[in-house]
Amino acid sequence: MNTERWRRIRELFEASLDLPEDEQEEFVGVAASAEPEIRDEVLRMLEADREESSIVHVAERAAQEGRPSPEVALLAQKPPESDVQGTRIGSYSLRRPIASGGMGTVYEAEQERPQRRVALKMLRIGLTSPSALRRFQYESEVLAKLRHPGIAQVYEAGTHTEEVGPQTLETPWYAMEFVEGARPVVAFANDGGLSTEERVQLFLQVIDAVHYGHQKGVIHRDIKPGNILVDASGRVKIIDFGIARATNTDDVRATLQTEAGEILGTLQYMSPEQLDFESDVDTRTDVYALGMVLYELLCHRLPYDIGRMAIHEAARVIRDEQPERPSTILRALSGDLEAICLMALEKEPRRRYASAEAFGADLRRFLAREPIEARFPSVAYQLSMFARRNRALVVAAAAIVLVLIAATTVSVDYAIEAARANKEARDERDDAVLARDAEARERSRAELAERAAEERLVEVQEESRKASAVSDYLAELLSTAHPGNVGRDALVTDLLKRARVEVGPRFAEWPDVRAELRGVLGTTYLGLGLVEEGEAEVRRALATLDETGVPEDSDQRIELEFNLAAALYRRGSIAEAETILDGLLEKAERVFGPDHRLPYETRSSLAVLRTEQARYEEAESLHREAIEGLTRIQGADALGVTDAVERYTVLLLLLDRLDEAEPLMQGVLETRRARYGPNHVSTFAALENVAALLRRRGDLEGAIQHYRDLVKLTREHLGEEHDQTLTSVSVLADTLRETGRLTEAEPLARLALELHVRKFGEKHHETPSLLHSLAGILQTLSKFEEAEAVYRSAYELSVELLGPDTGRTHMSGQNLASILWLQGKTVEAEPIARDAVAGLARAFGDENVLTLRARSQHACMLWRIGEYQEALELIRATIEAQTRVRGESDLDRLQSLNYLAQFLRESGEFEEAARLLAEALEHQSRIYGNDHPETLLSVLHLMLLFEQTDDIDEATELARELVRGRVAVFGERNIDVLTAKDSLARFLREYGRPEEALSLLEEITTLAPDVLSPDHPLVFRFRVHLADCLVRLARYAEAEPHALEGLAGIELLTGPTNPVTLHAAGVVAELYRAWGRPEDAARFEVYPGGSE
Amino acid sequence: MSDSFQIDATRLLNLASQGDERAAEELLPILYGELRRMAERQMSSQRSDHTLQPTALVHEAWMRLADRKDSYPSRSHFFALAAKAMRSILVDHARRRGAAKRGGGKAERLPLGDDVALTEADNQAILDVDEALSKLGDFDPDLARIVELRFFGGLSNAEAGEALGVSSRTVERGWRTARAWLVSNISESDEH
Repeated sequence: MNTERWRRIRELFEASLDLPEDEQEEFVGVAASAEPEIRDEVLRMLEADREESSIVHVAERAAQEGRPSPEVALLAQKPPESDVQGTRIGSYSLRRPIASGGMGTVYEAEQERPQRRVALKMLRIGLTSPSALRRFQYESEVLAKLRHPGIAQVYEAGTHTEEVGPQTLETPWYAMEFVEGARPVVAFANDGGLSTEERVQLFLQVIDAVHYGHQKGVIHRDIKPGNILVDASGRVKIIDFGIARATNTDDVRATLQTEAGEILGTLQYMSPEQLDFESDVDTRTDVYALGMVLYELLCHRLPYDIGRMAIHEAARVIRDEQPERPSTILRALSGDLEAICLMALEKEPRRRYASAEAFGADLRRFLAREPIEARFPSVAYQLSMFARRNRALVVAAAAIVLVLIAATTVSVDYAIEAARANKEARDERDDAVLARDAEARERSRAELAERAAEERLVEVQEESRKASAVSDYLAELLSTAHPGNVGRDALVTDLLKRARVEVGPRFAEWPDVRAELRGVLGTTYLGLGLVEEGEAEVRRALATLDETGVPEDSDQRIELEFNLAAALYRRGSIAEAETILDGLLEKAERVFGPDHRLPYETRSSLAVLRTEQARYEEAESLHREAIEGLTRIQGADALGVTDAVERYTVLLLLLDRLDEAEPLMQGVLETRRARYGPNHVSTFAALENVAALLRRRGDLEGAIQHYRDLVKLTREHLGEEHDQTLTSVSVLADTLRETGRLTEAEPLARLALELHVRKFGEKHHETPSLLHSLAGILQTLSKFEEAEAVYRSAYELSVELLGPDTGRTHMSGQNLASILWLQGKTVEAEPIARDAVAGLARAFGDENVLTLRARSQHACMLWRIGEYQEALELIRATIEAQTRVRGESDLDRLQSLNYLAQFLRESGEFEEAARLLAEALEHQSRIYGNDHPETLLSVLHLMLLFEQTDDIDEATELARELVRGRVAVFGERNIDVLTAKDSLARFLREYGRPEEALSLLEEITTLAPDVLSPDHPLVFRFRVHLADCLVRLARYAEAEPHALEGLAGIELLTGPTNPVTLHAAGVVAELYRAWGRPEDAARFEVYPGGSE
Repeated sequence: MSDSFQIDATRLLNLASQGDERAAEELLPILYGELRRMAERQMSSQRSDHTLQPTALVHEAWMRLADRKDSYPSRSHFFALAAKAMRSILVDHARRRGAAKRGGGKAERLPLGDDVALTEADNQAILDVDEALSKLGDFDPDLARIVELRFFGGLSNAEAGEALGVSSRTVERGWRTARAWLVSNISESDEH
C-alpha cells in the first residue's frame, strides 16, 4: 500500500470513529465517494473494529479480565516432535531422533557412500554472521582430525539451510561415529553395579581421551555424563569434543537461550571460570568438569544441588561454595580418592591438576596404592582465597562492611574446616582403636594405622591452630577498621600498615603463613599503586620462602617474582626488572613447557621492558611470540591475548606505525567491549589507547573529544578517585595543553593531582608524573616560578621514590633543567641537563625520543653559557638523529630546527637560519595550526631574524601575527603577550610610527606589574622602552621618571655591566641629549662601561 | 562479580538504552530465553492465570533483569525490546507447532478453562497477525510498533506511549486503527 493512500484511509477511519456508529457508514460513503477502493477499505476496517472474536480482541479482553491470553498459553505447550524419516541433510538421510538436548537433536542417519550408520547432530542454534560460519568451518576441520578410540570420530560437518518464514537459518550439523548400544557413563556404571575401582578404571579411559584432545589443542568445554558414552563392549566414546567452541555456544549467554531445565543441566558441570566472563577457559576447565563426572560416578550425586535454584543463585554456588566432601556421602571415599576429587574441583584453575594427564596419573597412583599428589586445601590456599576476595574489594575501594563480611566468611570457613578436620582425625583414631580391640590378627596393621592416624591428628591440629591464628588475626585486624572510626580512604592503607608490622612477630613460628601474608600484603600494595611498600613486602615474602627452602620453581615463588618485576618496572628500575623477567622466562619455559600461558605472558612483559630500553626490534619479536603463543593456547579472542596485543600496540604507537596499530587497537576495544561490557575499566583503558592514537596522528581535537568522553564515563562508572579516572583527567589536561587551551587544562591538572594526593598521599610513584603534567601547563602559561617549584618537587620525589639513576628520575631532572633554563638560570640548569641526558641515554637508549629531546635542549644551554662549538655540533647531530628516527615533520625535530636557527641567527648566518625557520613553520602550522605556542615560537624566531637583517616591514608583520596569535591563546594578561607587544612596539618605533608604539607601551607598562610582579625585570625594561618612545616624541619630562626608574630597576636586578643595563643607560643618555642637558647625558654615556 | 548473568543483562540494557543497535540485538536472545522460561515455568506450576499474559511476563522480566542498584536502563526502552522478544518467541513457537502439525505430529490440547480453548486456529492466528503486522510496518511503522507493544508485549496504552514517546491517547487511537486494519486484512486473506 502506498503511504499516501494509507494516510487517507487512516484519516477517514479515525474521523468516523468520533461519530455515532449508525452514521459512520454514511460519512465514509460521502467523504470517499470519488475513491471507491478507499471507501471499501475503511468500511471493512469499521466492521473489523466491531468484531470480537479475533485473537487480538480475545487477548485484549483476557488481559483486562486477568485471564490467560491465548498466545501465551500456546507458548507453554511444547511443540510435538516432527517426523524426520527420510529427511536429507547433506549426503545423509535421517532415520529417527535418538536424543534431544539443550544444544540440539541427535538423529540416527544413513550415509550412502561410504555406506554406514552415523549419528547426526543438528544444533539448535542457527549461525547467522559470516564470522561465526567461518569459525565453525575452521573448528570442524580441527575436530575431524581427532582420532582416538575414546572419542567418537567426527566424519563431516556442514550447515543446513532452512527457510523459516522470511528468515534464512544456517543450522550447523555434525556427522559422527554411531556408538552402538551407547549409554551415558554414569548410567552404565550404575546399571552394571561397578565397584569403586572399576569406576575409576572406566573413568581413566575418559581421562586418556580428553588428554589426547588436549594434546591436539582441543578443549572439550562441555564435558558431562551425557557426552561420555560407553558402548556395548564397555568402551568409552566421548562425543561433542570442541563443538561448544566451534559453534560459540560455550558461554553463559548461549545457555540462556536453551530451554528451561536444560540450562541447569549444562550449568551443573560448568567451571567457575566459565561462569565468569572475565576469565579464560583452558584445559583445566575440562579438568574441573572431569572432576564433576568422577564425583558423580563415585558418590552417585553431584557436589552441589543446584537443580531448583535460579540461575544466578546457581552460579553463585558454583563459584563460591565448597563441594560437599565425598566422605560425608560415602565414608569409604575418605582419604586419597576424596583428595583427588576435590583437587580437580578447586575453584581456582591453578589449584587444580594442571592437565588431564596429571589428574589421571594421580588416579593411577591411587589404584597402585602409591602416595598421591593431591592435598587438602591448606592454610596457604585459604589465605589466598581471602586475598583474592579481599584484594578485589580493596582495589575497588569497596565499603568496609564488605571487607568485614569477607573476613567473617573466612573465619567461619576456617572454624568449620578446622573442626571437621579435627573430628575426622579423631574418628580415624577411634576406628583404629576399635579395630585393634576387635581383631587381634590385624594387630600390627591396626597399630600402623593408629600411628598414621595419630600423626595425622597432630598434623591436622597444627593446621587448625594455624588456621585459627590467622583467622583470629584477620578478624582482629579488620574489627579495628570500624566504619565510624576511620575514613574510607584511610582504611585500607592503615590496615595494611598495621599488618606489615605485626605479621612478623605474630606468626614467628610459621614462616609459610608469614610468606603468604607478606605476599598478599605486597600484591595489595602494588594493586593500590604503592610501589615502594609493595616491593618491600614482596621481597620479604621471597626471603621467607628462601628460609623455608621452598623450591625455586614453586607457583608461589613465580608469582611473587612476577610481582617484584612489576614493582621494579614501575619504579623505572628497568635493568633489575629485566634480570628477574629473564630468569622467570627460563624458569617458566622449563617448568610449564611451551603449552602454558606463563612463558608467553613473561615474554609480553619483557617486551614492554625492551620498549622502555628502546630495543624495539627485540621488543617486537617478543610481542609477536607472546601473541602467537597465547593465541595458540587460548584462542584468538581470549582476554589474555587481548592484553598482549594491547601492549604491542603501545610499541607500534611509539614507533609511529599508526596504520598497523589502529586495527589492532580497535580489535582490542571490540573484544573488551564484548567481553567486559562498555563500562569496564579494561574497556576504558582500550578507549584511552584509541584516543592516544588520534593524538599521535595529530588529530588533537578528535583525541580531546575521546578523552572528554572517557573522563565522563570513568567518573560515572568508576568514581572520581579511580586510577583510570585520574589518568583520563590528566591526559585530557595534557592534550588540552597541546592545543593551547591552557585555561581549561590547568584546573584539570590540579584536580588530578589533588585527587591523587588525597588518595595516596604525597609519596606515591605516580605523583611525579602528575606533577610534571601540571608543571608543563604552568610552564606553557609562563608561570615559570610555580612551574619550577612543581618540577623541583617532582624531581626530589623521583629521586626519593624511584631512585637517583632511573629513567623516570632523569626525565624529571631534564624537566627541571629545562624550566631553569627558560628562566635564564642557565648556569644552574646546564649540569642538571648534562646528567639527565647521560642518564636518559643509559635508561632508554641513545636514540630514544626523550634522550634526543633532552639533548637538543642541552645544546641550547651550552650555547647560552658560551660553549658555541659544542652546542652547534650537538644540535646538528640531534637533528640528524631525529630526522632519521622520527621523520621530517616530527615535532621535536621542528623544535630542534628552531634552536639551530637561533644559533645561526646569533652567529650571523641569516640565510640558513631563515630557511630552517620557514621549514619548521610550514610543518607546525599544518600540524598545530597557526595559533599554537609552538608555531608562534617559530614566528618569533623568524621575526627576530628579520629584525636582525633589518627587514623591519617583515618583522613588524610577524610581530602583529605573534601578538594576535598569543592573545587568542593566552588572553591579554600573559607574559608572552606582553613581550610580543613590546617587540611590535619596538618595530613601530623604529619604523616611524611612535604614536602607535606609545599606546602599546603604555598598555603593557600598566599591566606588567600586575600580571608579572612589581619587581619583575620586564617591568623595568618596558618602562625603558616607553621612555625611549616618549623621547622620540619629544615628551622629555614624561620620559624621565620611566627612564631613570627603569634603569635603576634593571641595574639592581641584572648588575651594572649587563647589556640590558647598558642599553637602558643609553636610553637615559639619549633623553638628556635630546632634552638639551648634555652634562646629565654625559653621566650616563660613560655608564659604567664608558669609563673603561 | 557475584552475579555475572544479571550484570551482563544490565550491561546490555544499558547499552541498548544508549541506542546501541548491536546491544539490542544481543539483548534479544537473553530476553527471549528469560521470557520463555518464565512462561513455561508458570504454566507447569499452574499458578494464577494472570501470569499467562504477556504483560505479566514482560513486567516480571523487567524486575528480574533490571532490578539493579547501578544505573537503570530506561524502562520504556526495555519494554520495547521485550515486546520484540515476545513477538519472536510467540511467532517462532507457533511456526514450530505449525510445522510439526504438517509433519504429522500431534498437538496436545491444554485445558485452560472454558473461556480459552486453545486451537490450531489460535496458532495460525498468531502467524497471521505477525504477517499482517509486517505488512503494516511497511507503510506505517509507528502503528506497527504500537501493535507490537500492545499485543505482543501486553503493555497498557500509557506504557506503550511512554515507550514511544507519545501520549496514551495517541496510542489508544492508533491501536484501534491498527487493530481494525489487521483484523480486516487477516480475514480478507482467509477468504482467498
